[in-house]
Amino acid sequence: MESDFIKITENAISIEETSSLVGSPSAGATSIFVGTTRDSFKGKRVIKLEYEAYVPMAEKELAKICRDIRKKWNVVKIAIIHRIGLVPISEASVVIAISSVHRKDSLEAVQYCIDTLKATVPIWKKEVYDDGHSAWKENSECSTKT
Amino acid sequence: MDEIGISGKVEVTILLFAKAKELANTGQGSLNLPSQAKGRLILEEILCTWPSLQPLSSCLMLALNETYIDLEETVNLKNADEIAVIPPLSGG
Repeated sequence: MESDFIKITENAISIEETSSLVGSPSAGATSIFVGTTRDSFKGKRVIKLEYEAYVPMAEKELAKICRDIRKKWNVVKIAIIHRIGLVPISEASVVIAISSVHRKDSLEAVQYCIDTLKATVPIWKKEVYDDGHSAWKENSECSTKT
Repeated sequence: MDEIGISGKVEVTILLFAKAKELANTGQGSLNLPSQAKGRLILEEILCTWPSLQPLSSCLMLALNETYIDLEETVNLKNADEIAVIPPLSGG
């Protein structure tokens, strides 16, 4: 499992560092997804975002995604870093980097990784608006969304 | 504590997250449950204990010791098991 790197952190995520975690002489491609926090939702101004996680279970679910990716695609290394706590607007909340010998594998694996993360990993986001209201968000990928 | 043993009940820890935590006004509690219970019964017990979770009742998932459980499935429980109440996800 040394080729899979999983981290849930309260610190800012460096895209460069995440990318370097999956570097390998055998890899011909590194595909990276960066999810960033938006400043508006349906016309409402978002002033801050807060993420919460059930950390030990989230780490297990992320490890499961890594195992599934390796069953489906020929990838070299996987790094998934999710930020929690207060995330300022337009900063990265999640960075996924996957390397592979040929680009098709890592491109498809990154898409699968973020889609599955949104559907299965116990992490939640709350948007706080400038009118004083706030709302817990629900991913469209989540099977139990209201 | 004898009573719990005789009735075949165990004491489990309940963890609540995100909107469920806000509605229940707590992140953690404990419940006495039968040592064999269907997921749906566990959820009903949780809703009885924290009625403020009712608005979420149809969209909650449960995890037992960090693994999702199917609400139609019967699970074996032991003392100090951890059951998490998981509202709709919004990671990413």
